[in-house]
Formats: sequence, structure tokens, C-alpha cells
Amino acid sequence: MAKSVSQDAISTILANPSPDSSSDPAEIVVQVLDLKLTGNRYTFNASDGKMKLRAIFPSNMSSEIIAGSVQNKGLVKILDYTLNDIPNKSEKYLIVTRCEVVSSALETEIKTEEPDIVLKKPKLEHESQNEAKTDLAGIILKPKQEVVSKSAAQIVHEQRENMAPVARMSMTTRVHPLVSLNPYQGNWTIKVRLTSKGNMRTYKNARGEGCVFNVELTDEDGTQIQATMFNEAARKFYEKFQLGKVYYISRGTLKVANKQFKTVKNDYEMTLNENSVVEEASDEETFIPEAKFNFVPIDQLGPYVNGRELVDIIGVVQSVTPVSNIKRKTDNENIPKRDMVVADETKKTVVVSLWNELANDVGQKLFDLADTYPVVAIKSLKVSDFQGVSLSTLGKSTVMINPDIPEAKKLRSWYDMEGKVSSMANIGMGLSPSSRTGARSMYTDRVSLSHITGDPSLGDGKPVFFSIKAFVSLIKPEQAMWYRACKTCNKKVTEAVGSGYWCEGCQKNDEECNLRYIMVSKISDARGEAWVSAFNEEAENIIGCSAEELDKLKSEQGDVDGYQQKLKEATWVPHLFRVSVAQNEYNNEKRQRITVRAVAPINFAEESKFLLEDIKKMTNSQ
Amino acid sequence: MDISSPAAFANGGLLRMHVGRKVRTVLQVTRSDIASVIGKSTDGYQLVAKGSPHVPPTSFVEVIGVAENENTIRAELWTNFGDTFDASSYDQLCQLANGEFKHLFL
Repeated sequence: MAKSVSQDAISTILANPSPDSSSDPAEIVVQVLDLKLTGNRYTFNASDGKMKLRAIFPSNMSSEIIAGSVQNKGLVKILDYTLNDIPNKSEKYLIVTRCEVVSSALETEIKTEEPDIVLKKPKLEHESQNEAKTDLAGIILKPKQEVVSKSAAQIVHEQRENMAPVARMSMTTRVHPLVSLNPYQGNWTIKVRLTSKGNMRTYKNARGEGCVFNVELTDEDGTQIQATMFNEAARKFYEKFQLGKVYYISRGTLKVANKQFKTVKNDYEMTLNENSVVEEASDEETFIPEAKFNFVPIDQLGPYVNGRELVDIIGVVQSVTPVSNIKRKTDNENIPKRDMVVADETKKTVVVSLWNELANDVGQKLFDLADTYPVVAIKSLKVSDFQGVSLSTLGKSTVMINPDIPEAKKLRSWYDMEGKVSSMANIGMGLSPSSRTGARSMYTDRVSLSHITGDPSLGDGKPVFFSIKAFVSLIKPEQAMWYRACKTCNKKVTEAVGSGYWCEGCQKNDEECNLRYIMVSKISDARGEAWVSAFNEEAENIIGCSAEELDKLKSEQGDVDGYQQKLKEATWVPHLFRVSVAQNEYNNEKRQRITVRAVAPINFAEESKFLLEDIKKMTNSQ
Repeated sequence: MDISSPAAFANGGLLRMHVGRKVRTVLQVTRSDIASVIGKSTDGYQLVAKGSPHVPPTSFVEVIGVAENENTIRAELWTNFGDTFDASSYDQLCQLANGEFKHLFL
């Protein structure tokens, strides 16, 4: 038996979607590529050197695959199969029902080239390469030798050829996984699906005017990256990029992502300019998965309220309202909106507002299906504090009804067994009434100090906010408690040459200046302790007097050390702190920095209620 | 005052569990006499605290003493708790302290 793929095996399969099992099957030997476990069966790409076809092995073969008789890059002869359509796509899908192993893993992927396409640029180099390539087809088992004998120039040339015409792209381009891209290597091509498309925005800055839009790209492995285009490139690619389609992209540039603005988990972000290449892969067989979900349980939505981070949720629809029209104050435009109540296994419900198209299309479907309590999975929701906690869709949000994912199945069975009959509370209502206004934040994202100090990576990129109840345990008297500040802009002033103080920011001298706190103190709670920084207003609250007054006390002579006394009185006082946690770099080391943003006195009645709730939660979960 | 044994948290309904023993409870004062103070417990029962406080009682007062029967306490210690008090939280505390967390208190 020839230890190689059958020529045009894929075309043969495509031409015969349902082979007649009684007649002898044609010799169909294919190479197994990208073998991976999906669910409980193994999927792979069947290749005949020219074309690839997405395929799946029967579950009874899984043990053989695990045992190693069927290997990635190995050869199998397909004895019986069915060809199916992938719903909503123009691609086909091969279901192998019977096959036998022909060969274990080969050295490389088999690739056969059609000579006439290569000869578009006739040069001597090419012809010799051509020969080398066709030789490749015959000497499958030892292709490595051939590769070594090519010069570097030949190899680079080969790679560049692969990028030119689209037809050849789909057969022979080496596609790089998104996870392998970095700013230092520019010679890549990626194959990605457009999973999100932003709107075109115009801007004006010091350099002039411009337009920009960005997109989210997802590759086969599920890795995502954001790509931005400005001006010329934006205009060039805006129409070309369509949501859901697959593209080959090359000649983009990478840079480290600006963590404050990114919405996609990737250390890098991509920019495409007018020289970048974007080609649609319309006839591509391989499919790229839809964007991955990262579900947040409803009872853990608290910390996200009013934050920049978007969340995904999955839950059972309890009710859906009819469409209403909301008039936008800014431009008097009427926007359709629909609300629905969603519940999940945490036995909490939350209101999700669907806006614009989502209110009309998917919203109508959900309205009609409401009696069946469908499972809904939504990606990219904004969390706001309306009525405590509520979710809103954005332009980029996607809604899936009864998706075929394991979480949905789990939810379905939970709901049918318990959820239907249990009484569930809205996550926003679970909080005491006073806490729904300004003080809300002091209770919803309450953590203990050990939660912050125990996670050194908190606040990497974007600062995170928490509420803490803690005691001030130490204020060092010898620290530089305050700085001299400009009376106008609060920036630090320096002593002027003559008299008075000079402010660099305001560019003026002033006889007087203010003293503003920059205090560092230690706080402790039941679980841990931490050093925090507090600025003027908050420090005043903690110490109980202004920096000027404290300064006066410090310089007073006498038996009683007023300064020390004041600090002592501030120690072991409990407070409700709102803190932000961020990462600072000191000598290449990342350090956690906790800053007090607000201080509030403990409302003992509210605090007791909160603690009782906590006790209840703890005893329930046991 | 005898402080040899800890005072059990009690409300109106739980007082009967501790008859003859030292208890503590918070009452919302309804009437104050020469020899006793009558008040409402945090779970709505009317209780009598025998004795008289050294200072005039505020709206809420904590009484520590020995429970004579299921609605009377022979008060030994009086503490004014002011005019605002979260009765429901205290009530829940009583229930937890007599129920599943009894071992932490007595």
C-alpha cells in the first residue's frame, strides 16, 4: 500500500456525500491533522495534501486514539463515512464511520503543489524549487532532508509566495496561531474570524482629525486579539470586515496592549495599516469557534457594578417585557428596549436590558419563548447600579438562546429540578435599603484584607475597587505626613528663592501654601493587615483634624504631646473604607498599592445586618 | 454582682429556657416604676425587670440579672443603650446564641 495520501481524496469524498456501502469503497487515504478531543469524540482535519476537510472519528475509536494507534499526522484509510452540512455554513463535515490505520505519525504535513501556479513567476530558482516540491510528494517519510537542502533565500521566497493569491492561500499557507504573535516577528499570517466589529469613530486631537475603528479577531484555538485601524486603513477595511466571516490577515503590527482600554484577554494588540493584507477565506473548510464565554454567577456581580469590565452571564429566563421605546436625552432619538429577568443556580435574579436590535430580534424571540423558560447566554454586558445591580447590552453584546454548551445543560436540569419552584431574590434587593443609595458600595463588594494581600496580581493594569471594614492599627508618627500644596491647584510647591512658595503648575509665587496629607497607615481586620495610603480628605477623616492643625500640635511645646495623642486617638478606630488596589513598579518589581478613596463611619445597625446575612450565607453553604 | 457564670442572651420567647439562671436582654422601656421597669422585648413580649436603675433609663436599656420566671428578671445590672437600637438584629443574635452557636456563648 502506498504510504501516502490518495490523490484528490477530499474531492472524491466531497463528490460522494453518501457512499453506497455495498460497493467497494474507493481508496481513500488521508492524513490526520489537528487531531483534538472535542467533548467525548476526536475531531481532526482530513488532508489529501491539497485540500482539507473537517472530520470526526466515531466514539468507539477514541480508545484507539488514546492508545496511540491513530496519531496526529498519521495516515488513515477511510472505509465508510457520511458527509454532513455544517448548519449555517457552506462547509461540509466528514463523519468517519469506519476506517483503518495506515501509518503512524509522519514527519510533517503532506503538501502537494500544483506546478502551474508556481510557474507564474518563471525563474530558475523557482523551477528547482518546483522539482524539490514534487519530490516531496513522493518521499513523504523523509521530507526533513529536503527542507535542509533549501537555501534560506528559497525558504523565505516560498513563504512569501504563499501569501499572494487567495486560491493558494487556502491550500498551502502556514497559518500562525494568534498566541504565537509578538511585536518582534512580523512575517506572519493569521486566519481569524471577526467576532466583534466596532463603529467608525471620528476624533480630533493635537495632530488633526481622523477616523478609527476596531475589531475583535478570534482564531481556531479561541485566542482573541483586538485590531485597530486608523484613517486610510480604517476606510479601506471597514466595509471589508464583516462580522462572522473568516479572514487571512498579514502585515499587521503588534504592540503591548493598553490594559486600561482593552476588552479582550491578550497582552498584545494589533494595528493594521494601508499595507496590511486582508483576504476573505470564503471557501475555507476549517471552522473557527465562536467567541468564548466567561460566565459570572449572578450573586457575584457586585464587584463589577459601574466598572469598565464587561461580563458574560448565563441563566434561565423568568420573564420578558414587551418592547418599549426610550427617548435618549442627548439627541432625542427613540431607542427600543426590552427587559428580562434572568435567574441562575445562585438562586438570585437580575434584570437584563436589551437595547436596539437585540430588543427587537432576539428580544422578540425570547418574548415568544418566555413560557418555556429558555436558557439564555449573553456576552459583553455592562453592569450598572440601577436598582442595585442591573445588566445592559451594548452594540457588541451577543445573545444565544438555549446554546448547546455544557453550562446550559446544567442550568436546564437545575431549573427543572429545583429552580422552578424555589423563590429567588433579585440580587439588587438583597441589600439593605440605605445601601441602595450612596452607601451601596460599602456592602456589595465587601472583602477582607486577606483577599487583597493574598492576591498580588490584583489591579494589574486597571485598578480594582473594594470595600473593607477595618481598624486603623498603626500610624507612624515619624513619617512625612503632609506636603506643601499650592492653594490653587493642590500640586506640590517648592520654597521660592526669596520668600513664599513657587508652584510649577500655575507658574506663580504665593506667600502661603496649604498643607495636604499624604499619609501612610496600617489597617487591620479579622483576616489580615495591610499598609494603605490616604490623601487629604480621607486622612482628615481618619485623624480627625486638618493637616495644618496637626502641624500646629506637632510644633507645640509642653508636657502633653498633642501630636502623639491625636495619632493615638485615631488608632484602633474602625472605619468602612473604600479602597483601590493597583500595581506599581519599583525596580522592576511589581508591588501592590492600596489607596483609600473614601472613609465612612460604621453604621452599626447596617453592619450587624450585613454580618447576619454573611452568617446565613455561610451556614447555608455548609 | 455575681459574675461567675456568663449571662445568656435572651429575648421574650427564650427567657423560659433560662429560668433561675443569669440572663441578659434589651428592653424597650414602656413604663418605669419605683421598683421595676416594664418593657417590650426584641421579639415583642412584655417583660418586667425588677429593681431600679441608678440613672433614668433611656428608650432602650440592657438588663442583666437572674430570670425569675418566663417574663420577669431580677435585675442586677442596668445599661442604657440610648434611643436608637436595631431590635431585629439583636433578636437574631439571641436566636443564634441559643441555637446553633450556643457552644460559643455558654
